Amino acid sequence: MLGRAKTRLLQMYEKDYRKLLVIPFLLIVLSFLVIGLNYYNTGEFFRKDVSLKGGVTITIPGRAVDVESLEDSLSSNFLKSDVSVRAISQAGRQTGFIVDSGIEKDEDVDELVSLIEQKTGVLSKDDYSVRVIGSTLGASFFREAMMAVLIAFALMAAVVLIYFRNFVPSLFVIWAVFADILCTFATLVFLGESFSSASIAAMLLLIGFSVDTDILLTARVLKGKEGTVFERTLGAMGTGLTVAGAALAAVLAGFIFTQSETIRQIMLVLAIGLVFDIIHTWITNAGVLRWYLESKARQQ
Amino acid sequence: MKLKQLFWNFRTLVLVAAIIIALVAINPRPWNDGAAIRNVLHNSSAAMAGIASPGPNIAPVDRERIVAVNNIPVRNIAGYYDLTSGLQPNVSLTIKTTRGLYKVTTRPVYLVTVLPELENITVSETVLKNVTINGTANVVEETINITRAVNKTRQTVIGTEDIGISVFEAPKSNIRLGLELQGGTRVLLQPEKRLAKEDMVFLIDNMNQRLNLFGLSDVAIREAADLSGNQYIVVEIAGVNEDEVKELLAKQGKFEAKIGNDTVFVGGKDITYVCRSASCAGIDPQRGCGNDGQYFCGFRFSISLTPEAGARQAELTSNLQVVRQPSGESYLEKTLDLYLDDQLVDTLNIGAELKGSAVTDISISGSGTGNTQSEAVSSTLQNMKRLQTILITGSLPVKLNVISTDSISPLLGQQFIQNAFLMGVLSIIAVIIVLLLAYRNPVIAVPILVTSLVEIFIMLGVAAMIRQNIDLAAIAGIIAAVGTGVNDQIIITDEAMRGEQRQAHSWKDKIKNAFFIIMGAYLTLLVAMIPLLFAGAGLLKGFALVTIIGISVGVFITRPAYAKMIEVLTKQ
Repeated sequence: MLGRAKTRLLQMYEKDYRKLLVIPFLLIVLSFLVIGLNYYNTGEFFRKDVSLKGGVTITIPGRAVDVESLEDSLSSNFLKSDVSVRAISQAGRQTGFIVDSGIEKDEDVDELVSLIEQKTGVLSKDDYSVRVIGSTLGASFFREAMMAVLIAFALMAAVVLIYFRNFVPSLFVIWAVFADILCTFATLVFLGESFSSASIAAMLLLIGFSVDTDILLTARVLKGKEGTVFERTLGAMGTGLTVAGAALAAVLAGFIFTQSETIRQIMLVLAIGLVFDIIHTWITNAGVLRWYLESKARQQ
Repeated sequence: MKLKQLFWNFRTLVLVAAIIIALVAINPRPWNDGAAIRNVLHNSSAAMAGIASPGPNIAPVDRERIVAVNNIPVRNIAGYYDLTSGLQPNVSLTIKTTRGLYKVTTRPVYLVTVLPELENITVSETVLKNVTINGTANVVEETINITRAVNKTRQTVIGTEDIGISVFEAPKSNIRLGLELQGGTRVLLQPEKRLAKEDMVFLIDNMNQRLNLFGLSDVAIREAADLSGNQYIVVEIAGVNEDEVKELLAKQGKFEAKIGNDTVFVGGKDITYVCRSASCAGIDPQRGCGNDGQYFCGFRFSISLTPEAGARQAELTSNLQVVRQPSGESYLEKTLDLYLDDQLVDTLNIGAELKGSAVTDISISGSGTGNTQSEAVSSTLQNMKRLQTILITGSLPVKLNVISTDSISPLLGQQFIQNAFLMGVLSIIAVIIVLLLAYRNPVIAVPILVTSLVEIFIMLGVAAMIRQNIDLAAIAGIIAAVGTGVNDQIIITDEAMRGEQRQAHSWKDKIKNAFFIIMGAYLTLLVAMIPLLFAGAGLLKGFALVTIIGISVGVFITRPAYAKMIEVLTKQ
């Protein structure tokens, strides 16, 4: 039963690879739609967290609270800015909580802490962490992050072009990476995740990770000597899926078991990115590459 | 053929050498115990006994550790606190450290109460006088005794002063834990206008000095920039929640003493000496503490001016009128106004006897408040310490703005470390399961696992060697590097296994193919990380740096050795 399904899939992959290209195409259209709609509704391309817009993050480890009731009580008692409360959990068990707010003055922070203390009891200075980011710094971090992503992408593209010295297949690689980043970004927007400087760092990492399998595919297909383009693609896919499986397993373990919000955000970006990478490498990139090589061969 | 084999062996040798170097750099000392000294407070009883603050660049395992107090062994910081808290005043302690034996005597904390009765005290002051010797004018110092009537005071012992050592758990290796993992304070400052290179060096020196005078030696101050060319200064203080230093760091500290609009002296260059010992600095015995709805106390400390500043004072006071107060005392018509960063902090009356005299010893005063008496005392002493520090170090070349602060609880750090281990172990198990499913051959999973662990070890070794802190971002970098490492090893393995099925390729070709892919992946990830080395005040630099170190170690050291390992395994 399973064997037959596998054969059918392989047949489809071999014969209808051009039709399969509809899937990534639709994903890309959908991604643009999600991002556009979000921009239309909120006036922002994505939600920024405190690290990119300024404000305070108070992290209280080792205490479990009812997140919603704390958020309600803080929001109704603290009028200077919006307050949101998140739980820190490890494998589903709450191990602490985080309070975010748009304030940046010391006295406001002290006031917020004393309101939290009404729920948790007295907190000594060593019991919690406070990060305050000025709004100008947040805004500049945001600009920096955008610049970093653009530069990283441009450098990656340059390396790919120089490395393969073969213009069109390199463009396919770059396109596949772009599609991966775009779909990952849209998914995060769709999930309502806030972006932090850590998520941006993860995006850069994703640029690097995503291009790996595309290089694997392109190198095997272009440099391989035996078999058809399809056979070489299949060989590369075997390796690529093992790679993706191992990476996803590690990333998901990290995502589920970490207590750090930073690591959680990084792992989430990578996990989503790795899933889209499978689609954009083995359907998008493999498809257009084969199409290109076979039509080139026919012309000759 | 033999040469080729030697070449392969060379790769394994490189790996072994790297492991040994990493081991030396990490220098694991699992048996180290005791309480490591982080800071020794200036003028504290510990400092008096000769215990010094550690230097800033000392390797973690070389730090001075307290191993016994009064011959009772200290195993950890809890043990240290048990032995040193709740002591009576004037008790002697024998503190044994890894460097020597110190005799520390605890000191009492006094509360000073001002009494209504007066008493006469005689103080000696050094003044400068213009004397004409053989027809030329010379400035000479002369010590005069001045007798003043002051209120009597009463000192009561209200407790024991802290002996002044702050400690942390003894480091068991040279891996430096970043702030997120051990707790501490990070302050990000931005200069109001662009600083030239030499001004930046001066600024950082000055800030270092300020923090050291304040009793904090475990600090790292560095310049940072971003892609848009903004300048930042990042200050990291390990281990403590030091909110109060924020003000000390950000204050430009432009101290000016003026008579009318004329500057008599400024902080730093006009001051030769700032008294910080108990005999001439502390809660002002003439003012003591009081309560007007809130508790308040006054402090005073004496400073010495340069002869030039003294001469300026003589000149500026020589034309002032003497005004007799209703209380009977005589003062000059103008006051000496003290400004800190252009704000008036205190106004001092100038005694009539100082008219035209080149006084170089001056008493500076100020105050502090609090909700309780002891809060008021400590805030007053804190204010005094800050002002003393600013007077010694002088003004910063530019005004700084605090744009971000981060105070990280040590509890959170402990939780993160334990959690990072758990996460690492579980991630490795998850990868092994996938590998076992993919290859159905445990022999393949073992070298991948071993190589990844070796890679982590070498990465930590390099980090220890270049003094890179391991914080959360660095852990993320380690994970990223190990992730790419596993990817590469799967690519090598697959390439080798493919060869098993088809003997068409030579081993050399197979490895060449694998390394073509691996190098491409390496170079792209490397360039993707480069912007982070320079972006956003360098706060993600650790992440980028550790990732780059990790993937470089992988590609140049562990991957070639892994290929060799697989060659041996598949040829069997």
